Amino acid sequence: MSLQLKQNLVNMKYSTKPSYRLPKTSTEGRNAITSTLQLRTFSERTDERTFCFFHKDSCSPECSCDSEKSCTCNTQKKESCSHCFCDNDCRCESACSCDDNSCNDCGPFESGCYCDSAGRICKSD
Amino acid sequence: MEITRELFVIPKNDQFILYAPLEGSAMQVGGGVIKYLQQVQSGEDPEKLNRDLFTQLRNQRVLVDKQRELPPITNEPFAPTSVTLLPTYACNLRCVYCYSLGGERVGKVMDKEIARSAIDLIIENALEKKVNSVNLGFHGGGEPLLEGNMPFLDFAVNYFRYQASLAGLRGSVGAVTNGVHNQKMLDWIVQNIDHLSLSIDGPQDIQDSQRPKYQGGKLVGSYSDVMNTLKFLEQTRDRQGKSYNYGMRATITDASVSRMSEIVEFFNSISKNKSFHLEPLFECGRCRTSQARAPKPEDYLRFMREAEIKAKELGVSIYYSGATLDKIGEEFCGACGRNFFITPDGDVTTCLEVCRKEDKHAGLFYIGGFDSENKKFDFNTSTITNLKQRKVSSMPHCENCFAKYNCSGDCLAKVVEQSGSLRDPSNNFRCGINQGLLLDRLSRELDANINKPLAQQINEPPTQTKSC
Repeated sequence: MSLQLKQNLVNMKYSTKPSYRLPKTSTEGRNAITSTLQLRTFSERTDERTFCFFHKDSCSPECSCDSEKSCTCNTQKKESCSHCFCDNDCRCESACSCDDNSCNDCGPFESGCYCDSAGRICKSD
Repeated sequence: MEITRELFVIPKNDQFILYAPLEGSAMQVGGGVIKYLQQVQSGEDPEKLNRDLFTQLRNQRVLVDKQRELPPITNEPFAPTSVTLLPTYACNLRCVYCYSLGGERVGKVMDKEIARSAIDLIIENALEKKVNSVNLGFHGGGEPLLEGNMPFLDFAVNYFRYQASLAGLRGSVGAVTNGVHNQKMLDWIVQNIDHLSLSIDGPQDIQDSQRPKYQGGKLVGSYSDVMNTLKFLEQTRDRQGKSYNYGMRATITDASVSRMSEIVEFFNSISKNKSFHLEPLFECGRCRTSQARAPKPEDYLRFMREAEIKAKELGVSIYYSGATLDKIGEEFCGACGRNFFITPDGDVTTCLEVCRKEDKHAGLFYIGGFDSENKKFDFNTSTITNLKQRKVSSMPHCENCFAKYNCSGDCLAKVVEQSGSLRDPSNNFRCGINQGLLLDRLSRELDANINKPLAQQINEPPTQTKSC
């Protein structure tokens, strides 16, 4: 085989521009096709995901938050909230956790955490 | 009749592989076939030259009546039907190679209004585009499924499912996690997340050294927590008795590369999954201050080959993003102007590896942000267009590479970090891996078809696997 295109894949010359086109130099050998393979043809590659659908039948989505910070579930007010948000069961969102455990999520240069309406906030030194 | 314009010739012992990726065709041929094609290229009549060969090459679409056109870049407005939320930069782990420095400069959890507006937008887009499904994902930044994020997560999932169901759309929720959770969170995960990708690097010594837990200011092993999660996921069944849908991904470092076979064997021993994702580390983020180093490409290739043999013995497969036979295209991933990933601050990026505003490449990947006054997203059309134009056919370095449509120009973040340009992979350490593994896979499939009657050589195209 006297092909200029022959590349040493084992040594992998990353910086060289690879060329695997039909060679200009003549080749010898059998006029035979020994194996074929059918692959996927070209398509615009998409960010397809394989997540399967999970129907959450326990969901109570009619729950909504009103301006009085109350959870309203199927038009019936359930309770007042300190944060304007209702959970899956039309209960108010629980206050965020600021115990030692959750503050461990803060960075090494942060001294701890506190909660406000946006949730848990890490404090800088 | 002419030769397909994207035909590659790869020497293999005393034969050649002919690979026509746009036509989905590969063949193993003798040197005489190459000579025949050279004569056709120089203008000789292919049919008169050799009628049998002409027929076979036409059937294999190496000779074509008409060249296949690549889809043009469209000017369609950015209208995603999937969104991935990065709820926080906080993290309970301090992985030695974390690209986003999870756990540092944490800031606050994403505002629910951002999630609400993003979900409204994808549903509106889906209805407009008449597609029947929408996707919600959670990713880092930090660890998206921290217990402290529960109110946000609960809100986002419930609001998403409700709005999707109101709109008559199929909705699915996915997440990536480090797997360090308490039981309350695990219960929430299996009830709310349809598909989970679990990051785990291997046996205990590898996991503990590469993915330590940050607890009370100290670094401690995370192995037992992750194993507890894995055991729980393995045991979880839905009402129909179907097992929980999750995948496993390992980052391979210089320290773990020689143990890839062992990692595959370990994964197979602890999980019923049949495919495992092994990706080589790319040095960025915390690698700059830790000892974590990327594997040498030749080592990754060598040990991946060993691991693939082990995987075959075990009846499982290994996924690596740069060398898939079943994905042919011009774009490596949705970072090319399609992804809708939202950082905790409400900025929109198309690449998870560029998720901090201060990242030097943020200008390339940050395509918009949340306008909190108007409660809507604004997008930068020119940044999106620049990303959409990043197609492998526009990358001169890749012009003559047989792997170009399989690696699709490879990972944008890695390419730009190494060369400074989205379109210049000339320094990309993964090129050799991508070429080597793709050639292995082509050779293996072709070898398996030798001596089979032609009718049996028509392989079913593989099913699409998960995205990178």
